[in-house]
Amino acid sequence: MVRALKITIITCLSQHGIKRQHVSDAAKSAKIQRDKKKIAHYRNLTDACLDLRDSHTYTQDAYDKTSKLLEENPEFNAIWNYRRDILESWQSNNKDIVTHLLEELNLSMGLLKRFPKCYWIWSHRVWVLFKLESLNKPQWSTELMIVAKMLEYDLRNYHGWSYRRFIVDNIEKAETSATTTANEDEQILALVKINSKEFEYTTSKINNISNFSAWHNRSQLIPKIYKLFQLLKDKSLFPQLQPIFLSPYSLLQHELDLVKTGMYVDADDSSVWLYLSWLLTDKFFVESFESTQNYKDVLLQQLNIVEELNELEKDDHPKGWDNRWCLKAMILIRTLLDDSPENDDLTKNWLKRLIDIDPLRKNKYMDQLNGKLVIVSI
Amino acid sequence: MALVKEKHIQFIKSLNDDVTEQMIEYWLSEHLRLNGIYWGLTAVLLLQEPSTLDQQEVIKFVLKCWDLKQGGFAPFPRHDAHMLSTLSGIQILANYGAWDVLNEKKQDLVKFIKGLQLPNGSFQGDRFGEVDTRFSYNAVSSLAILGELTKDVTEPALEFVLRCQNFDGGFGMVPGAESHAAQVFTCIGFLAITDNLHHIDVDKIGSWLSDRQVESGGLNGRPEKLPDVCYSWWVLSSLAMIGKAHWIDFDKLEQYILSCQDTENGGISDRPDNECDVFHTCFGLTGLSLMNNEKYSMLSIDPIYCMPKEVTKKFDKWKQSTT
Amino acid sequence: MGPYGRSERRPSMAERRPSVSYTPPSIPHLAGLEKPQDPHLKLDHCDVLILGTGLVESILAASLSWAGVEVLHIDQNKYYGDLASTLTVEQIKKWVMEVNQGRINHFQEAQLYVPGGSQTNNFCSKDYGIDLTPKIMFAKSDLLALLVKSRVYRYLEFQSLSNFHVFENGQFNRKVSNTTKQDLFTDQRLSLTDKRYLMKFLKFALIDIQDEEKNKLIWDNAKTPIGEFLKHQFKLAEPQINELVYSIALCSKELTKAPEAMARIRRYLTSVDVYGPFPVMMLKFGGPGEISQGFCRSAAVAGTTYKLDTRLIDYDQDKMIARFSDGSSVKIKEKLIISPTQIPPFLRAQYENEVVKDLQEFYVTRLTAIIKRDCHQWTSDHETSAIVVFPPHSLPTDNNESVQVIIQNGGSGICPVGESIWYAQLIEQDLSRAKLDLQLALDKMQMTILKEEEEEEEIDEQPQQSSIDAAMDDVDYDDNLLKPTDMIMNSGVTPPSPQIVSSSFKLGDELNSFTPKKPLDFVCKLGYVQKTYIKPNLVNVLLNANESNNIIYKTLAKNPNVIFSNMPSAELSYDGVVSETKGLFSRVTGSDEDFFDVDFEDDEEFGDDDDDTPAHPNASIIGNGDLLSQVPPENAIESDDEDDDDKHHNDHHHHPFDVDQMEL
Repeated sequence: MVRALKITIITCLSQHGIKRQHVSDAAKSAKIQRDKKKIAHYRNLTDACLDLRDSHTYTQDAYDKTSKLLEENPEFNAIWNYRRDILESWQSNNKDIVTHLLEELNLSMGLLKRFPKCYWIWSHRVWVLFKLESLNKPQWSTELMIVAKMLEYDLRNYHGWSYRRFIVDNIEKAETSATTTANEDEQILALVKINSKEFEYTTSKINNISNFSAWHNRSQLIPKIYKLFQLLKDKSLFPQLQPIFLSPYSLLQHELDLVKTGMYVDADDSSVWLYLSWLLTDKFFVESFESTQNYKDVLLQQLNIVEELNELEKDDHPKGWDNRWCLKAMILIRTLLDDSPENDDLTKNWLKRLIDIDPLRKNKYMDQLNGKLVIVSI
Repeated sequence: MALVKEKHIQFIKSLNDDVTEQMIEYWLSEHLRLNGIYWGLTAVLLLQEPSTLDQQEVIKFVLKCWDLKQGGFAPFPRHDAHMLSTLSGIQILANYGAWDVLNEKKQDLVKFIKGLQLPNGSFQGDRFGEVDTRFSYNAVSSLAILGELTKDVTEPALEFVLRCQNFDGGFGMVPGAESHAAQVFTCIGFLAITDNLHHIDVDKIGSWLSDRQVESGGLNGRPEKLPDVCYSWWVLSSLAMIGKAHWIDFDKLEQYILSCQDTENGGISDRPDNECDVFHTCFGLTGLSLMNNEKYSMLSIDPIYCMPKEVTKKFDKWKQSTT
Repeated sequence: MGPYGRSERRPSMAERRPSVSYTPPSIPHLAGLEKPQDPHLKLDHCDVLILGTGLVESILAASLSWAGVEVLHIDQNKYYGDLASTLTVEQIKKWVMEVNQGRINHFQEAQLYVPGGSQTNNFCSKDYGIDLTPKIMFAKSDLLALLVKSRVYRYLEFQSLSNFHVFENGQFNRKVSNTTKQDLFTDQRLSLTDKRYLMKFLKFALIDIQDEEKNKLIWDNAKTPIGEFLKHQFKLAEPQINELVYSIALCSKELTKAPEAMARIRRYLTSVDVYGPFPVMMLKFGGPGEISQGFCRSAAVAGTTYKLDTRLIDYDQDKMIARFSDGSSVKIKEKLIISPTQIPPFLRAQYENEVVKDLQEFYVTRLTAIIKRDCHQWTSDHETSAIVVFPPHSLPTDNNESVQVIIQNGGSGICPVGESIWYAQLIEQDLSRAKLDLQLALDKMQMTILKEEEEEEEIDEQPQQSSIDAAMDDVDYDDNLLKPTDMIMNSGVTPPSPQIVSSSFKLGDELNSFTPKKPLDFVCKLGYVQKTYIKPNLVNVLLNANESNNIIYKTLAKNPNVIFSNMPSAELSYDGVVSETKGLFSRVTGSDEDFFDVDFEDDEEFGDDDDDTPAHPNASIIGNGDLLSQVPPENAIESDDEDDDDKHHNDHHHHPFDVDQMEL
């Protein structure tokens, strides 16, 4: 064996958040003893699978061996590839692979439970789903339920949220293509149904206000649903959504209300403030105002709310400090209200206070103070 | 706390000793081996101790990872070529200036990488369709290092990357996906390599990136998450690429990275007192190099390519105007 | 079978079929339970003799055995558990009689009321498992950590408990557990300012308290009653204070001081989201009785010899020979540990004069009722247990201490489905007053159940869809789609929003004007008083336990090898149990360093050629009952999420491959 081959990242795989332990030599050699059997077993299995692959063996036995290996190491991408090749070969030999594809879903589900952040498993699942769809056995709605479960156990799982959007996309596609003959109204109805469920889903998930993943998804959904809602014939089918989605303005008011509760619950939670800056700056809302004055009214109202909260925060702070996010939001809003914020004494004063209470970012505030930076985001 | 340079060298070296091979984890981690070598090599290059790794053996190993069928690098001999391991293979060879070993493989590599671009401009990681902005970075970085970047690749690729930007200024894995500091690195890196930084609002993304620093001095990857040493690199290099590295507090970040060192056995972990690994060791050191390489007698790191500047200065940099 | 059905018992954990597909690898059999015991002891010596198979004694037996100590573990009863037993109704009848004959030390004034004759009150005694000293387990607690470390959890089934109710102003309020940002964000009843103050307090209790400087606030208020502390330092309003103090913290006194109460509040807060969104776990099939049996099995595996129905008749201190009622005698090389309920007559006087004489006594009065009604009104969906608290002065008797009640319904495996058991307890030292308080508390609960039922009947007449149904429609949950092996979270769906569930809760109505149309049927009611020398705030166990304040550290002049264990405390949780066992462990071995310092790794070899994939470490602790649906997979606790000490890292066989999402 070449020496370089031993350069390993032995620990990089698992060492996120694992407490450091300095193991004794005795413990180390005990581990080596224990690992002997494991290594022999694992290497035999690996060699067997790769030999089968190299000899283009596409048998049930080979397939079962890959299952076994992947159960032990789902990061083994080449084995996932081999497995897909086996399935492809079966399919081209007119074998019914639907049962096997469903088995793939089972296997990958079991593995995701143990390894919810393993890219290969997620992407294999996607491959299987497309395969099933091409065989007219789509599984999208089951997947939506499964990903909801995954996100219950890890609210922020990055893969989980991406997967959820991916599934919704495909449900939409399936819905619209299923009604090709039918009229557009039905299609729109179907789309509103799907997306309004997603909207409600994010509502339940932002209950944990730190869950920025949910706020983010909400920002994606709002303009989309609004557009669909405009096209919808019978809006009374959605009595709860109707008043909210009446106009960008009603949406804005509804969301600002949520944000207000969120900022009172925890003024230090950045998720809410990021979302507020979206509400106040995105052209979806901004461009829908009838007049600049209307926009300014909303901004002033928000400025009041945030200033009021900041006063409370100051009262409670042992040193009487402002709240960092309140100040940032106040600066943002004043900037939005005024064309030349760098000349505004109030803004300057707030920036100076930020330099004191948030020294980590003092250089950014200095840049702002020195007019090197137009302030457009929180 | 000081940088325990010697210990880190020892740590990287120990990854290469006989004991390691007797651990099950060694065998279970084959799929990241080439990446692991790149991380270890980057660390020892920065620390100016390249001889920690045997150059000839490493190059031999890289060539053993060549996937004849696909024409790219696999992470381990007999595994399959993938975009992730291909970039690592190319970076290792580039660090050693060992281009001659590639021969006709170079054209296969270009073909492999370009062949993974999809009609919408995105890149898949291999022939099975997984799309991710990471692969966009892998592709243009690989091609740029090979001197094979062309407009027919960058133009559609740019369009896709820009679609991945969110209201907060950050980038996600695919269009619609939440902003994530590591994806921000790949996207800003992509824009930097392809000379396209003017397409984004650098103040906005800079602001988001600067908010990643938390009280402990460490950086997190998304709002309301815990800090992790590897974001020292993803966030700081991104800020450096847009000229805003000073928007975070260097002293506190430096202290944070140093506090994640294992002063006994070497290596750097994600958070203080956690288990160390070569991945975090690499990105802790690249972070330190980016902030203050002279203080630690380290080589200066290139924020775009994550390789020593003295290597990347030899690359022919791509310019929109010249092609 | 004798007049009291002496050989009757409940099926043991080894005999039961597990209620879900998860099966522990094997459950060792216990002598005298599933396995016949030798009529005579076959060993002639041992290191340690333990009398009584109660909770502390069983953990001690297991920990000593695993440390290589030879243990002989004897119980005078025909069942395991001693004062921590889970008994059938027939067994309870016998127990009550024995208590009233003065034969069970430290218990007194037992009363059993079984209404109606055999025709009107038809029940099967064996269907019930009544805990003599019921307890609840916080998800973040030393006992749970020990269960995991010792692998005893594999013999047990856990269920979640998340509902705590406070009785206030003549009505029950479901404590909305405003203990997370989520609760605060969604609770419609709280004003924005109240939300803000509560959040500030929660942050203090969870985060700031770890900061030495901020922590000072608590010690500056060492003498301040918690209510005052919360009001003045955190501007909390009275309803929130009452929730925090009496239900979250389970304080029994109004004047509980800030440090103790804060520790109790933190106990709850840090337990949330450890294994799921609930703070407390209950053992299925019984509490301390199940756990002590589990540890006895573990001890048996490690070599402890067991014998039931056997008494110590004599002990010769010089020759170190113990003689037993079965005629055998055994040389005891080191120590004798004796449970307070199994003190042999020849040691009784020494115990009274030398051990407990100067210690302060505390009485716990208990009232246990088996109701022929399901009390689902108090529990969450998919849960089988709840806590109800009557704070001081909330009852018409103007109670001094809070009455704490554990409700468990049929799903908890201790009574038939459709029925429930209420365990009420109180620390009031005026015993006649205590009984009155308890009786009144139970009356309030009865009335509530009756009222609730009459209202339900009225509503049933109108077709309706509850809000929870409507919410579930939207999500199209169908658990049948998933195989049990398919998902860790397969059984039972966590409702999308817990707030929706609470809207169906109607216990909040006033009781004053209500007269029930029909009475509530009981299987039986059981009352008794228990004496303990552990202080209600556990200070003489947890903080400065020593010879002057704790039984286990006392030494008899004539019998220096004899050590006595304590009666269970008045504490509703298991807090203190592990500390006490460690104390006993160090009295035997000199230190608690080796306390369960066992490496079990070898029995879960990975890659063995059997097809039995090893159970996921956490899948198994939660692989039972409802909790299966609750616990996050091991690495759902992701790289950049909270560090969670040791709970996920106890028994890896190999590490998950969690590269996170940023390798390039």
